[in-house]
Amino acid sequence: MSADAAARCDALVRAGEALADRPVAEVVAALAAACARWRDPADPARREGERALSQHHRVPAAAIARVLDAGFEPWTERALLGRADTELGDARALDGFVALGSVRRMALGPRLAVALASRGVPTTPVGDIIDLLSVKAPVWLKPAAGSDDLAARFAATLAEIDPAIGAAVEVSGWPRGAPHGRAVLAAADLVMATGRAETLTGVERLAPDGARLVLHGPRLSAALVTRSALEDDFDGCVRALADDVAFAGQAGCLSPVVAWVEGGGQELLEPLHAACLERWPAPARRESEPGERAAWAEWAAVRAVERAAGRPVAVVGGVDSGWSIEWRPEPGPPTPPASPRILAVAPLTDARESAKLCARARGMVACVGIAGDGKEMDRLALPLARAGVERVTPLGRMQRPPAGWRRDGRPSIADLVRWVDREEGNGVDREGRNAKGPAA
Amino acid sequence: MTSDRDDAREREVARLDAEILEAVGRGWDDPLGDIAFDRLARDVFAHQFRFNPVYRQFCLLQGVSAPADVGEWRQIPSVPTGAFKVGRWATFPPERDRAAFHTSGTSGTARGVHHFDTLALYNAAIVASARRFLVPDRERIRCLFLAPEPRMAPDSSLVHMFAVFREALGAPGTAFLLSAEPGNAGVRGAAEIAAALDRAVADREPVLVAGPAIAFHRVLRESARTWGLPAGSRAMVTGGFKGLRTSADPASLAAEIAERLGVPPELQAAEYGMTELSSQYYDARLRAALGLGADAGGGLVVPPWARVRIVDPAGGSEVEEGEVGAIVHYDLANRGSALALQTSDLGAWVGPGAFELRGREPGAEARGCSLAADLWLGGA
Repeated sequence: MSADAAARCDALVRAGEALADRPVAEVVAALAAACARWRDPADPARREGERALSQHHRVPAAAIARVLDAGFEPWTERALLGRADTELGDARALDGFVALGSVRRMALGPRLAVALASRGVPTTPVGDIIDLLSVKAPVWLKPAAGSDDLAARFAATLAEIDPAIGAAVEVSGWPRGAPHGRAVLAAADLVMATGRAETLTGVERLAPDGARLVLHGPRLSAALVTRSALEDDFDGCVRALADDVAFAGQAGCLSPVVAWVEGGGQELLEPLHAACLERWPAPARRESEPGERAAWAEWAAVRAVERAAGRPVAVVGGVDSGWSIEWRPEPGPPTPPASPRILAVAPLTDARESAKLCARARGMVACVGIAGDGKEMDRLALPLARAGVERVTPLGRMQRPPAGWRRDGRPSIADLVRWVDREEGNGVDREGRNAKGPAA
Repeated sequence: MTSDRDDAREREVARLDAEILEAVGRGWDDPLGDIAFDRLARDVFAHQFRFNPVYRQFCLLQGVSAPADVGEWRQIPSVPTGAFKVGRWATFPPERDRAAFHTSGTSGTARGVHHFDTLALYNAAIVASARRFLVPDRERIRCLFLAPEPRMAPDSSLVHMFAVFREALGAPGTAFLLSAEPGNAGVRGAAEIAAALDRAVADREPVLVAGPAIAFHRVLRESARTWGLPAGSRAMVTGGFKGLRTSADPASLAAEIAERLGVPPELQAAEYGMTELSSQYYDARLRAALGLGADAGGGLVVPPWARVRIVDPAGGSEVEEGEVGAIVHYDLANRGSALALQTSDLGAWVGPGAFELRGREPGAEARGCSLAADLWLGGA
């Protein structure tokens, strides 16, 4: 291990040991205070962050502001403590042994966690830091190559609020395959990673024996607009759909890649395209990276082939736009778009068909956002759940999951801790023999 | 009973195929010049315009209303590879099908089909390139294919290519070493591969080990053994790792092949091809190592019966040498399907008639030879 990496890992472990002696409520309060600053549009760090991220993502600061507002919204003190109570039975189990059912039990976070982030929604790596610090784990977060620096900025805010907690966070990367990185991974007893299948396979190979792996693979989402919702409030449906689709340029797993519209949907294309552009005014395709341009151009050419073959496909948003919304006559399951910022709109005869479509992508569907009344949500939630969908939420709320969101269908922090049970007794029974106790 | 139109098509096919076969046969010794290529390419385009109604409609949408609107081969409207998934993309009716190869795909993605009314052009292109870039120094060589038997994977264009290698270049002992049954490949494959390599060493017989990169990677990972393959042994590696569960960078894989099989990197030829094409591209390092020519700057060499444009994907204008753009292929051997093929693969010119792949776009759908191999090997 390079001396620098070794020293930094040691420092993180020491900072984690110091955190262990502090009440979890104190740690969570500091995290919540840092998030509150990032929710405050007047805070200097947030304003500077908006400016920097705006440059990085090549969109106006207002688009970044929407992402920060939504991203930091759930992380309040009450929500973070409530999540710990829900997932662990009692948040104080992170401070010491507490009575949980018939036993006394405590939860310990890892000695050193390494989080490997992927490119996507800027606040996702921040969430990794918050999750790990919520269990008092020191964390080395490696941002994805080419990603923005929000995680580093958040860590700096945290260090201003509470230097001791700030000392338990390192945000820095290393070149692919660098010995430095392998050494950092080797020091971890928990490795969290978000990314594509091949990335996660590589992480599995590199993680040290015995380290706990918390891996978040690729996920997709879908939107469902019921006939009644569209008839009742067409503009509202467009707004809600655009809020969810255009969030952070459709970069995250919670952005729908397909919108199923009961009874039609073609009328949504133009207004939806305009609304997406308004929320995330991405540069035109002709100005994007060669890879993205090439993928988009091939996608667009295939649509031309489909039209030539007589299929009634329609596309709004060409090479001069940063968004493309297509209408397809046949609904399909959520599939990764050929290029960023492409949404497929397709009709459903009956909203219940959505469950069958999700089942065709079982294990991949993170969220379905539904525009419909409560009865329709009730009618659809169960079949969607049984089809493998991990979250069902009203349309317009897809990008605002609560702090306790079960990402990938798993708990957020319960997966990060190791439990220790403490049973009662003095080790010797009344007759002076070694206590055997009942079989477990 | 055939219609006049069918008869006309067949006559045209016979004429075009004869000319294309002649061009392929001339190979690099008497390469097809630009003027001759242009004439033949526009003839093939006119044929495809006439006998593929969807392509004709596609051309109309691109502003090309007749073959005469195309002044030179560069103006021929290129078809995206995805067109092979939209529907049948052929200039002949299904009853004329002699073979069909499927593009790779995971369970969630559609698979394209490349139909052939004859394999003559395809096979001729395969043999001409393989002869030049893989086996220029001997009549035949024992081939060990990291792929299943053709009867086990009849819709794989890669396996078909290897079957053609076997017929045209294979010496006794040539074998296909993978099972087509996912999950069974590891055990059976590892044992068979080890035995085949042992035989090559014992017989002091040089071999060509050919397969997708991921197959090399998995095979080497599943065994700790090393072999010193006889002098003159070589490898052909195709495909990458994008979108697969496994990854390794090409340099490490080349080093591992050298260390574990005894085939030095300069005798490891890279091949680039796709189901939607009939011609392949190879780098010339193996020829250079054998003292048979320069290595073309390490780039993939465009065969004389094909042309490549590297373009700005959004505008279609050609990029300068060294600049990255999308690769558009013009393959005469694709007479029955799409002469001009647009891909989202990125590349850059590295020298006259040679280009280099620059990786596929992030988020690209996994496809190609390696994905097929990943499926044979129980992945994806």
